[in-house]
Amino acid sequence: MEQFQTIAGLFVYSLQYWWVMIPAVILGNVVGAIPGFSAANTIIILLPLTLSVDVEVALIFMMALYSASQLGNGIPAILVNIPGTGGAAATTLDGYPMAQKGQAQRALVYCFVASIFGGLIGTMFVLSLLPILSQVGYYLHSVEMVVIILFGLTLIAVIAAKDLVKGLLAGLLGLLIGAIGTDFIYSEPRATFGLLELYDGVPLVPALIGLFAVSEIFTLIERGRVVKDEFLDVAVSSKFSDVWAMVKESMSHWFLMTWTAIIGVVIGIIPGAGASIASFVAYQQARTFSKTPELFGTGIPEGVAAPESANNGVTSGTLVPLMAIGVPGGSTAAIMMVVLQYHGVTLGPRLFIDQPELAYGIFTASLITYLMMIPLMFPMAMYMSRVTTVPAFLLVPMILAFTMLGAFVPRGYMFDMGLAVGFGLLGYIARKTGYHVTAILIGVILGPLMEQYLMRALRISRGDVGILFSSYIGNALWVFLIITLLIPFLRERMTKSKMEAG
Amino acid sequence: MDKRPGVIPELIIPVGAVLFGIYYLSTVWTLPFQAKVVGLYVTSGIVFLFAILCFRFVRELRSGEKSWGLHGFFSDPVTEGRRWGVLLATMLFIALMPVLGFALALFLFVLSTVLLVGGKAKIKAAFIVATSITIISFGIFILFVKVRFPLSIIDETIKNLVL
Repeated sequence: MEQFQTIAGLFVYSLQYWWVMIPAVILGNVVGAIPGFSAANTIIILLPLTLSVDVEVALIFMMALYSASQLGNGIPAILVNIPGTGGAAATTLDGYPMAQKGQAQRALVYCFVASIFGGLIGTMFVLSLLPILSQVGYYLHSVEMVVIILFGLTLIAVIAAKDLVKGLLAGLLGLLIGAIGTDFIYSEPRATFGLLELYDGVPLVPALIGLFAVSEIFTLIERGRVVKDEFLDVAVSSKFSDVWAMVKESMSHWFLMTWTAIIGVVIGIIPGAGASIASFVAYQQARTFSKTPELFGTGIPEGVAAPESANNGVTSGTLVPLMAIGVPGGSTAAIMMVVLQYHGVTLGPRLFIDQPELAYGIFTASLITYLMMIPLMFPMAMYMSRVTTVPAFLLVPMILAFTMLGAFVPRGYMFDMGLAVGFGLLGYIARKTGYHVTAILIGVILGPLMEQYLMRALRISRGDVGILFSSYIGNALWVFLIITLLIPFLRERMTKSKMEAG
Repeated sequence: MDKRPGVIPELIIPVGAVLFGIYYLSTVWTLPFQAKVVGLYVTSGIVFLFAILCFRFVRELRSGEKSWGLHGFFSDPVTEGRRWGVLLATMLFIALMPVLGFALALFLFVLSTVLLVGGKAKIKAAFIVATSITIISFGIFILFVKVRFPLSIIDETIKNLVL
């Protein structure tokens, strides 16, 4: 009871900082929507600001920016098939087909509702179960992490690609590309083609920009505009008054959004797993329990709501290990940790005893941020949806210019712009020949992580591969992985036998 | 002309992945087992999947579902011309930015891309779009975020005039 009184008090206290939250929400949406920018590097850019203000203001600003950027990621994923980060890659699967059918406004409203709802549910879930949730990380070691990453990748290959073999091959190619660079233990360069710029590994932003933005541009040139010609009338006839009806319609999926948000929180707690895996797990869950699983991938709103709710649930989840045991669950959480430590805040179990207002305050700030997004985001849905009707001769140069410049931003190498073009060609060939770009990208993201955990596990076992089958949780996950691989074959066989019986 | 989809485009990625896997292994071959374990497992997986794909393609070729060739990969010549033109313009943009500087390189890149995709008739739109994107990008990347893009005398002059 005392805990809830503290939370209620903090909620009212956080409301005083509305003047920090509004610019942070707007900025968060913008940086989330531009590939190359993210909450993490924006907080880095604004470090002089966050270090010079009070700890409460810094915390609320960072939290609002982080939460809003998760929502912003989904906007370009729907409108132009370019996810702001890997976490919104699953949103492209149904969001972009909806935009092509002239339903961009509907897809955006679903994205906003699911993001806000998922964020609120995730935050409330964390607030009420924080002491229990913080224990999850203790049960996951390097062995379990290797299987989780492989499970996530298999899931993506099964979902994203229509062809399982091609999907798995794309995922493995991504993993191998992700393993370029010097290794973690022996510091030996691997597959760098003699290029110094690749010694730190393949940078993620140029890979994302190339695989999604550049390859999409090459296909957009052929199509003329995002929305298909036959749906152009539908796209231009969307009205502001439709938004309310769409919000009501999307709220009928509250149950789907609730449990996918919880999936997001739980996966977010696992350090390193993050939004990329969570959104695909949520998408797969939504498809499995849907009455119309065959419609997923053709442009249905549930395919937007599930991943968006999950990746916003991750926002709260990644902060749990940070606040509870002092281990950041992601890059943004790591930067927030640096800022908080600069302000003299020691993260870990003592935080809840010594400074409960900060420990819980971070989550109440997130809660208010999501509430503030309601009046700020919905009026923009109609105007944003009109992007899909802009002709290619205007859209192509705009996207290309901003994304190529975005590829340069994180490291400041001209090489990274060239790398984005290289990935663009790979992505274009992949799109044309049925090897899904999402599987490649997730492989690139998860490759270094998997390698790190695998090496750690093998060092513990002194090179014995049997360690990968030595834990109960790990073995259970192996079983899930095999089931995931078998599902497409079983489904195909069942459809065949049904057709034969018919 | 054979209208059946060709298998050659579908082989580009698997063949490329196998070759890259071999190259990857060649760079880790002398390292201890732990350092090459990912390369070994992942390349083995790629080779295994490549074998499955090859088996499938042979079956599809024999049944007449697919043909040898590139059919289905390229579009009409006009679209292909635009696509390769945009690719060339992007590469020139990257190569020339250190010489021409941020603003001029970006302006010329956007101008040429609009003209390549929209045709000569869009010359007015091309100038408007190129000017707007250059001004906005200069404001965001050079003046506000202060990203270290290569700057020429033109960029330095604009920067000094504004700040």
